[in-house]
Amino acid sequence: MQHFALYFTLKVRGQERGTAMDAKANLLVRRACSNDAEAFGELYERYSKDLYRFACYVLGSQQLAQDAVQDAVCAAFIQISSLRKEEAFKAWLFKILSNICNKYISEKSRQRNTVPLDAELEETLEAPPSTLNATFEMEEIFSCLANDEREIVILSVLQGYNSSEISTILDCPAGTVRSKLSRALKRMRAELEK
Amino acid sequence: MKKRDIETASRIKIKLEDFEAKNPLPSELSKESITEKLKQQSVPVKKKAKIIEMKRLTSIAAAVIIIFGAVTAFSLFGGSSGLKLAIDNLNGKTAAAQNADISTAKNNKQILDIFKKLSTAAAKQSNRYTFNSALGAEKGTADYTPTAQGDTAANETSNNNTYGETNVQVKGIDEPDVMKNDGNYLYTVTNGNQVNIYSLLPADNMKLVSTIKFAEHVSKSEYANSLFVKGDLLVVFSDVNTYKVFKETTTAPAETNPDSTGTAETPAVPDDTATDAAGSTQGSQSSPGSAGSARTGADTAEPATAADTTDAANTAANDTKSVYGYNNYPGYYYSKSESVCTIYDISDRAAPKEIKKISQDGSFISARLINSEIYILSSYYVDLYAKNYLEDICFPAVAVDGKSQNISAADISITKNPDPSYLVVCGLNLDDLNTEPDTKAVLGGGSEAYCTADSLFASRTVYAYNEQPRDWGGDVTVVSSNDSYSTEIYQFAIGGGKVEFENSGKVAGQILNQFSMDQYNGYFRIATTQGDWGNTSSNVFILNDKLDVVGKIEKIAPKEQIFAVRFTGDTGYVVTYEQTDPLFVLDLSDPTAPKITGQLKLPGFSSYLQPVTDTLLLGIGQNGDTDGTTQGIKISLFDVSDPANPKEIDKYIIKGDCYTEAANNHKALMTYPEKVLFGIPVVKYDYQTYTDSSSSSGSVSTGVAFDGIVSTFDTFTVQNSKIVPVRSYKEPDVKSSDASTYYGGISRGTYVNDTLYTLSGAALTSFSMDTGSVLGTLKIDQPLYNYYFYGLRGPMVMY
Repeated sequence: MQHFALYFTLKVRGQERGTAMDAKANLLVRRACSNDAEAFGELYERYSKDLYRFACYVLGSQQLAQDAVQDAVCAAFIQISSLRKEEAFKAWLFKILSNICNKYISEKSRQRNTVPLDAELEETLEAPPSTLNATFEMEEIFSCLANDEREIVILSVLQGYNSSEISTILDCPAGTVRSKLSRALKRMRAELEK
Repeated sequence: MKKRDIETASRIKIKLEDFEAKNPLPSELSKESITEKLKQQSVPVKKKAKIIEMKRLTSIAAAVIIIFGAVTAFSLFGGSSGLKLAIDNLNGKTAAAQNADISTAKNNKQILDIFKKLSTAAAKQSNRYTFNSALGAEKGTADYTPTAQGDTAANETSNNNTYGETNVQVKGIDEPDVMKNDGNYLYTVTNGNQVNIYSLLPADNMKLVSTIKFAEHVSKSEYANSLFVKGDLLVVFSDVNTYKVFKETTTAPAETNPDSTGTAETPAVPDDTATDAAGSTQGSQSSPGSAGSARTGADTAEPATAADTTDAANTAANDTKSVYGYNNYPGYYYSKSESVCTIYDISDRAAPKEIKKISQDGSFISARLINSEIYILSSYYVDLYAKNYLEDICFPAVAVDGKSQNISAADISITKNPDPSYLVVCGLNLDDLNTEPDTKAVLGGGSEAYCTADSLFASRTVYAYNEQPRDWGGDVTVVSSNDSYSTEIYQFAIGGGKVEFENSGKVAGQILNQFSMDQYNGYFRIATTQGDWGNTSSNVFILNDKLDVVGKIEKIAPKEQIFAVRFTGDTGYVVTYEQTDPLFVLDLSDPTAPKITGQLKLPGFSSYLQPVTDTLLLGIGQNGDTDGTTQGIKISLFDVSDPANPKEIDKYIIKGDCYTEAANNHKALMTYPEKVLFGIPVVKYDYQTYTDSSSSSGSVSTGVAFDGIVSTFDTFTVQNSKIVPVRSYKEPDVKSSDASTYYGGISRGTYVNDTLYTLSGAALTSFSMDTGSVLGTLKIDQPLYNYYFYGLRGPMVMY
């Protein structure tokens, strides 16, 4: 029973805003769709902390996380008209952020082998990835995970998304999400018990 | 998830949440700085650059897909339909978990089914025949033309004037009225058939700058009811009624449009003819009432031949003239109401230019203007007797510049026990008129509106036909239950000209008016009266953001009804009345435990409460003594500084048989905050004594006869806790017996600096507030019609 209770808690978290907030969020999304920056700002505020945390853990750097969130929000604002279903906003925003984080990571790894052509890009990458305050331990735990596993763990544990929701955000089948999550948790458990 | 995994997850979660406390969101990621960044990005040039970047981003995202793609059963990225599908799945439960009493329509069929059911039920209840002609065919713009008169904005002055604004419920949220003042010009709805723009300055040389006329046809009427002014935009609300008259006594329906010939109308109404012709062959129908059963067969009648149709239509055309004659009382007429919002560009006040017209089904309830956003509410009643056309009429439509579109099922919320009527809410943004207006509807209905900056509340009174059998010693008698009225509240989230249905709630009893509703600190408060006449009591309910009742005060003042309500912050004031006027002071600071803190019994009653300061409250209403009401208007000043002990510290009584619209319509109260000055239109009924000796018996009788009205605009101020009458303004050269005053009494007063303006159906007059002397008068063209009168919400058509 405990099992179900926690699972339920995690699941509901993502939808905790209930009916009353749904309408407000829908309204804000539709306003944002007509290029209303104020409305988008208000929407963003609802998820800003979640987005920042997500980026921090995935990228392991506050500076990069800040850039990634800014990039993600700007990108989201431009393509918001392509968002069809208002309720999907949060998942959609995470999806964009996840893509941007992946971009950062892949560029970081590519940097080791290639000379960057883009001056702006160079600048971004030269910012030394600082370690996170007070969460060095967590950083270590996460370091044992692959990027996608890290994302799955954060979305599941912190944001309370279930596997099908995560599959939407990360574009992979729900079954894969479940197995990856299970594998990641197993590895983290080992790390925690060290 | 395995149990072990769950444990690990919760351990990680605790550690992760620790992060938030130690790593606050950097200021660069604050809402404000992000919004600022987005605003800069909105500049088209930058946007282009960003789009290029997005392309780059997409390719990277595509790379991500490749990583997962190999094992992806259905790839979702890029395809919005795929995303939609998955998200539907994701959110399916959320949508279903909405308030159980209300749900979003699944599809058009669901709505049609509801109406079919309602129609069948209605047919059973009523012996009225089923009407089944072509309906709502006419949907177009009415015939009116802006006409320029007089000088072109000759007297422009700087807009540093202090000027009168409409007295509204919520500060900063404008309500439409028959008159708006922008400091230089006065915009008025005059006698319903014209909108006039006057230049107010100089006060001794006011001018009619332009007029927009609203035309009247027999089959279609358009009456302006109120307006808004926002900068160089004029927003006029009008009610359009389209009539189709079908006569029982002839073989054909009378499409009573004098502007067109019967023949021309024929193709549009073949069904009418078929139905009526078939109907009349089945028996005599001398009156609409008796026609009930005879008409039933008409539904399945074959269409008439073309020749029949033409003949019938000709007959109809000939009958047109006498259609309003008593002998030719129309057997049945269908009337379709539309609430029309027309937006004019008035950058040239002398030549208003129509730039947008939004027509929504239903009669106008009200509207609100918040900055540049307008929200319009209408109530659309679906005629259940138009059985064969239910499909056409059971969806409310909104027409933008003549292009009509039904509101889609996804934008319709259905209440549990719907009446065949819709509440239609339309939002638009005056700054962006190219964007389509946003519309939502609630199948249920609505009557009063209360609006805050981000929420719109509409109320609907629901009558539960609640018959209960009761045993009276052997005989079972059916009596109706006491608590038969309840009020449903529909909440919409609003912003940016967009509307989203948010929630619904329900409380016992009926509300009085928009002042019965209020929102403060996230809680919604509503005052209602319940019970049958003579057995009433009142309640105040406090509802949370989900519109669930969390606190209440019930059975306030048994046997009395609510006459006025006003909520200000943590305090509520309720006036109930039976013979004397108790003013109740309510403490609402704890939403879960509201309580009555004090009450005051007084003769007469207040029907409108206006806060003057935090501790002073003005009441406008009816004079009275301990036995009930007596003649006269009573203005009370209440000291509410001690909630346990409210006091009437002063009163001002306008004697005689008189009435003020301000007692029942807050918009008629003029407020001049800088001078703490108030003004109300006062109508006094004038009686003349007469002596009649013409009786055949030779006796002489004397009496009083109604001789017209005396109309004034009375101002008073509040000084040192006293009501001080200042002046009573009266239009010059107006006799009480003048017919013009009959519907031309002063309806509004306003001001620019030290000049007071009064508006009646007959004249616009300016007065010096210093001396009271008349500075100028502009006569207003009298309307040609004599079959309507001027009411609170514009004219009423009397047929």
